[in-house]
Amino acid sequence: MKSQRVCLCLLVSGLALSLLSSWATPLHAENQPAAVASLRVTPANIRLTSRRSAVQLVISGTLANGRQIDLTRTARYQIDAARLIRVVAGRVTAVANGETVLTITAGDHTTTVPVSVTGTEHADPISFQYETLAVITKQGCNAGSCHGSPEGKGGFSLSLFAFDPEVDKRALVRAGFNRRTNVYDPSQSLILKKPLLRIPHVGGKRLRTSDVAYRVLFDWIYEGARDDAADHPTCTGIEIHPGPARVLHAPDLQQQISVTAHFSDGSSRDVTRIATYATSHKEVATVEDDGLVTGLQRGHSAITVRYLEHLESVDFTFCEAVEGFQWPEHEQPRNYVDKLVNARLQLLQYPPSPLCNDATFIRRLYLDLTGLLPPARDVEEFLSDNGADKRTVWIDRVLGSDEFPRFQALRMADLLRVNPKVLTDGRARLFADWLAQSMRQDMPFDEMVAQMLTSRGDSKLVPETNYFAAIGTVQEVTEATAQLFMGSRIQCAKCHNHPFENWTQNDYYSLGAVFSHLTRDGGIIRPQQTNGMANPRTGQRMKPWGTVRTEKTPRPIDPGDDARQAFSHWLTADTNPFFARVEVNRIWAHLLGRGIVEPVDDFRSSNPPSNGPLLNALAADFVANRYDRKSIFRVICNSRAYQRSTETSPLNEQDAELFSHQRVRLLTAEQLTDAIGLVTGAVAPIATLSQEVAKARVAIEVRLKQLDAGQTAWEQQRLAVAQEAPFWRGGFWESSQFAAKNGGAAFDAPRPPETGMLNTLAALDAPQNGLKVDTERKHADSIQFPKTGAASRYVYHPVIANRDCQVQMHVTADDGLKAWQNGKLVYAQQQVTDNPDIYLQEISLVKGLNLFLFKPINKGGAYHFHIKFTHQPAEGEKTSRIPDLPGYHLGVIHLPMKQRTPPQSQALRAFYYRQDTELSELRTTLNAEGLDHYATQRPLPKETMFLKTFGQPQRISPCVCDRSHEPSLDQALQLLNGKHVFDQVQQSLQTYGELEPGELVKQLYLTAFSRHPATNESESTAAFLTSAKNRDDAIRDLVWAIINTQEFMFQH
Amino acid sequence: MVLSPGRPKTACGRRHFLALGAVGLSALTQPVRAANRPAAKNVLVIFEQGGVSQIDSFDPKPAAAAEHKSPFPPIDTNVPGVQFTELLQQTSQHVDKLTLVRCMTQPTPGIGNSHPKGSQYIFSGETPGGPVTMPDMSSVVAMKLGSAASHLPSNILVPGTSEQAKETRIGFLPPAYQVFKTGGNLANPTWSVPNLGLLGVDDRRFQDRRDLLSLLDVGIPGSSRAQDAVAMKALMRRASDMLTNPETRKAFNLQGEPAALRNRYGTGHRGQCYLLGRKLIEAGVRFVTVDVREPQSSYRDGKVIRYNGGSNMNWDHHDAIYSDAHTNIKGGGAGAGRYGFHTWPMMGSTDQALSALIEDMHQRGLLEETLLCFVTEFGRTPKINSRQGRDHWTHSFSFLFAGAGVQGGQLVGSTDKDGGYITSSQAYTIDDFAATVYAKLGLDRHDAFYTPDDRPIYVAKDGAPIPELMS
Repeated sequence: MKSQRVCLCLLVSGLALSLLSSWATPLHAENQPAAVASLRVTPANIRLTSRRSAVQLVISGTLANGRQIDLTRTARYQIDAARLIRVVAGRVTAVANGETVLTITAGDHTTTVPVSVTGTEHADPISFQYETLAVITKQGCNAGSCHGSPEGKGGFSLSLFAFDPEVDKRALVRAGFNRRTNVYDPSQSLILKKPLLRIPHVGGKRLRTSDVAYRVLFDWIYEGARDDAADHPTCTGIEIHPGPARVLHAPDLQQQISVTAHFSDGSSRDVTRIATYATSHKEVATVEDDGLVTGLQRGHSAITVRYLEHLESVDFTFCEAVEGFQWPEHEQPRNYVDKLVNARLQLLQYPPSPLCNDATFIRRLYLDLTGLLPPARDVEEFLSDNGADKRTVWIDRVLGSDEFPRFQALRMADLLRVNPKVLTDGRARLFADWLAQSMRQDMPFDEMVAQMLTSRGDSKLVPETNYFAAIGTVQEVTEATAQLFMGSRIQCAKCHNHPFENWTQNDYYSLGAVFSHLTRDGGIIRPQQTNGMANPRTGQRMKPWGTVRTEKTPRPIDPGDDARQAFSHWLTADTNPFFARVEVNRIWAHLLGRGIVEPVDDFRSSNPPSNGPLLNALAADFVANRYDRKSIFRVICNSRAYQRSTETSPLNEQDAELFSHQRVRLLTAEQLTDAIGLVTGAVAPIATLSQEVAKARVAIEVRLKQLDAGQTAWEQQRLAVAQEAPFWRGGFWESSQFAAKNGGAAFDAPRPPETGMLNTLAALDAPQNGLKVDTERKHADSIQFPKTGAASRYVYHPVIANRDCQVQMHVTADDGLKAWQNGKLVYAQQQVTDNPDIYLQEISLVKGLNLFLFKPINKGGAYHFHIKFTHQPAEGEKTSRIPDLPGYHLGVIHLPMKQRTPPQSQALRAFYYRQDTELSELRTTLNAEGLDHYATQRPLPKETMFLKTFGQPQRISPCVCDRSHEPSLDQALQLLNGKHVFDQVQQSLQTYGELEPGELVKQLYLTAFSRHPATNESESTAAFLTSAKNRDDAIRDLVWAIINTQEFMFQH
Repeated sequence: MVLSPGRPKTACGRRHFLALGAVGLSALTQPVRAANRPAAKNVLVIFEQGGVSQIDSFDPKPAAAAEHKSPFPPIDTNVPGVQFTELLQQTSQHVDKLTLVRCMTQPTPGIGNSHPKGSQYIFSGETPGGPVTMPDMSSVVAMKLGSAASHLPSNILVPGTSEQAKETRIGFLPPAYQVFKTGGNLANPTWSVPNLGLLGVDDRRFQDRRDLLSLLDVGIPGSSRAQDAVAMKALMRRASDMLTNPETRKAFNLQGEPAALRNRYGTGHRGQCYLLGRKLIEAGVRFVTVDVREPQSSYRDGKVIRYNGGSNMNWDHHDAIYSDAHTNIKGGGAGAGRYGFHTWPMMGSTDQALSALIEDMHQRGLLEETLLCFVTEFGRTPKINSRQGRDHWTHSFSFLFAGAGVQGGQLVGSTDKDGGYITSSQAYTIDDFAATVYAKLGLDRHDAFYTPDDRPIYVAKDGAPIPELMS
């Protein structure tokens, strides 16, 4: 029976594909249109400026009930006696010069449009760039599956969707022994004969002589197959009418669209006939070559219009009355989410499913928010809670748990590739902990992303720099950043313009330029001077994306800026079109099993949101709540949309994207591992662990408070020591390379470096600032330089003397070194040797700031140098010891609190915390004793065959698709007969062995299903247990069976 | 005016295939194009990994310079004009059933020095490293054609334990079509497939458990309409079937084969892997790949045997290729851990297993509808290097094909007197091999696949079916 049904399905879907075209007739055209209340004509006046000039009119009517209707094909068009124009199906073409008026009548309404016709006396040749290439795209010649593939087809290769006109010109005019275009006999051209099937063409019939494309191609060849003049205006964009969205109601499910291209000289041209159309939902809408859209069934579909590299979409919604549809009375919106979800459901007539029961809700909530099954005790408490708002209360309770941030951090860590194999030396843990902490502390998402994107320093010490350390190349950083935070898969644009979106190759390299100046030697992330990034196809150097935000007006990025700063400002601005929408959509997809935009990292106009207003409202809420992710979780969890049953009715079972019911989802690899561990008792119940965690966390909080209270005293003490010493040293600061090649010479002049010669000097404001300061070595202040560009780098080093004094400078350098003090050359050696005359230098420090500037000289090879200042204490002087504190932090301590920048304060505090052994021990306890037993709670994944089989991501990609959600045979085998399940089931005896059958079944059901067993279930299972010959085996069999039920392995 | 809510969607995307595959692949195995019946129903690929020396096996070169010549003289086969080296005594009696292609070549730079990439190339039929990770041929075939045996996976790798077995890829296809690896040392008398033999419970108890499960499995609201739930249910049923179906056990049960036949294949790991390959084809598995490497600790005639020094016994003979035992020499390099080319765990067992396989499949009539391929990722240098080994050589190497209409006794291509360069007008690549496999199965390579990003993909796009195998 089953297989018959499958065969049928197959047959139907096969048929459906072939019958699509026959469906392309409006289904209910026989209905009488309602009365038209008003009429609107686009464009409002018609200007035809050449012989071939044409304009597609769009006549829109508004009905009495407010609905829109397209009258373009049904309106009557009247022209006056002069007959200067011709009108067919709303398309106006030029006949002769002059001024006239077009009268349009629809129903009782009549309106007029002024028309002017000029230029018909001049020749109007075909434009290669703006017509020929457009129709080649329109006919599909240069599609990825045809001649647009990298290898072309049959030896004929075009650029994908004409993104490289030069290549296309060569391919069409010169290559193929000049046979593709024959200017002497155009009809003999292969580009006509092949697609017309006058000679064999593997790609089949692609052109008819009645096509507009045929006329364009023929005429272009006839006119000499020429390229446009070099000064031909360029197309700056296209405008579609109607747009950007339109709702149509049966029976009027047709809509003409018009496409106008705008050019750099201010002119515009109707390109409706030569633009290319595509539909996102073929079963919902079709679109014809002339831009006529027809709705086939209720639903929504984006109609995407491509004209050369410009892409715009119109989001169509088609509505029809559904028999038996009735909006349920109980369906009162809880919040704005419900209002907007329901509006869409009402419009498209899908009645929503009722709310799920409490047991289902609590299981769903825990699994979604914490990744874990709710503990049996919590389930009982929740089920017996009689509060009217208990779901709301429990949502807050679970959002406040420690498991929530940990589980969400795991999902984030997957996408940010927190992989211990790549982020070695504890860096993975450092980064993962930071992610969890940011979630736990409700760090605003914009702040968090900005911190990552502009991070610098040693990735072993600065957690967020691991965003860059985790990803190998500039290209990957670019693509990952776009995919993660802009929801854009721009990788296509690396080699060619994005086939389905407006991202061009230039955009790709402009985004790339934001990160191309990063170096990562030795795991230290540091920005260098930026020089843009070249588009390899054109050689053009692209400037970094974004603008520098200043107090006054934004300005373009200078080479000396850290381009990431500007990019991050642009990205996290409240007005950014992607940032907030992408993140709320990810949260929505996590909770509802499907994004409003799906896939969640594929935002583009040709892939419209299934509910645009909902996405916008969530994004606005997110922005208004200062990018607080938890608040979005809260609002969604509280909605009826989230709390609906997975049960469907015949009226809403077809809905897959409007959220009329919840989705049934297989538990993820980590969720399932933990669920099995919990139900078998193979891992300790969460409550036990939670207590340990809570204890450690409280202890940490207490310790942090103590430390905070003591910070001022600690600073005072350090200051006192510093002031007693004759001098103390600030941090090492490093410049990037000089903008001018003679920068070195400039420094011989007596002027301090901060006058602007060093182009990143002022920007450096981090403790490590990219230099590896080695305090372990015998020379307490050794510095290692990065390998690249070391020879042209400078380091500056403030030394603050408390009095005038004499010191000795010890230099070790593997080649030579030059040093300036307050702009004066005080040391210059081409080769530093063992000779004390060379490596020692007497220096007179003046009271106050002594700014040293060092220029290491590298003659090749590894590279390092050390500088040490020693001071003979004068009679009665106590010590010359410098406090045990890196100079940078000491510098910060010298600043009054108010003058410290946030990074300075943070760095100092982090250092201060690190000094405290008690705190670090507590933190270790927290991780080791805490929730790391659970796969959903570990920041760093374990790698087991079981996890892998169930789709655990490898953390090698920013795409959510790295995690597989699809059921596989291996999974079924693992559950039925796998070693992991076997071992865990063996252990279940310890948990259930002592319990009476009734209690056993109850505990098992509460843990596994978050519900009490039904009477027949307790009876039959109790009977199974008591009648079994071997009770131990029977318990194991029971646990095994529970694990293999749908109710267990699915979230519902 | 009412629209029926039950109209079937026409989207035929990735997940749609999955649902179909899960619900019953057998539905897909109905002959799709009865008018033009494909030559092959099944494919058995013997992948001898590491780079088998063509000069020492299928392309003997008696006229080569003495210092570089193979020590194994050529012998006549049962087809006049075709010679093998004496190491293939037994196989030489079956050349009338196969086509020998001596003009295989692998022109893509960067692959020749990499066994992982070479192996991936053999598995997928496309040079790895492109913008899209290509799935294995076997996964493509499994998805397109399903299996004739619902109690068995459609594509199996035997045993999937060698060094390069991790180079299999599922690419953009659904995970349901991932190749199934049997694992283990098949010469071990107690060998069984992990997860496939019931673990810790006997048949009866497993049946009891399933009865209990059907009692408790009350389902979830809406699950009959939920794609993943439906798919999982079907997969659980199929997995249960695999676990309990006597036919599944039988397909993997080497003990059930007559001792004489097992001995004929050779009782070592290689012989038993080849034998299992035949058994699985016979049981209806669509695509079987045998990627065998004799383990250091192995079995022969059911007894434990240890190949001292043979830590990685593939065909990567950079050092001491003609050693009578292991190849670990002073000053040696990448070739350590092998055994000499002619030793039992290498060509000795290969000649026996291969000849047995051809003979056995021929006798059973399996060659009628099975394409049998004997392949390696590249050949070896015609010159012997300073460590008495032969290094990687991509310019020419040999493949064997039999069955599914492949002409017997046919020789395709020729090489120069050293066996280094192709002298024939024909030269074929691994892409051509893949295209041949698809063509034999009746799959149209011009049907595009689409990745989740909607990028059109053509399998074996750089290849064309080898004409001599298609006629």
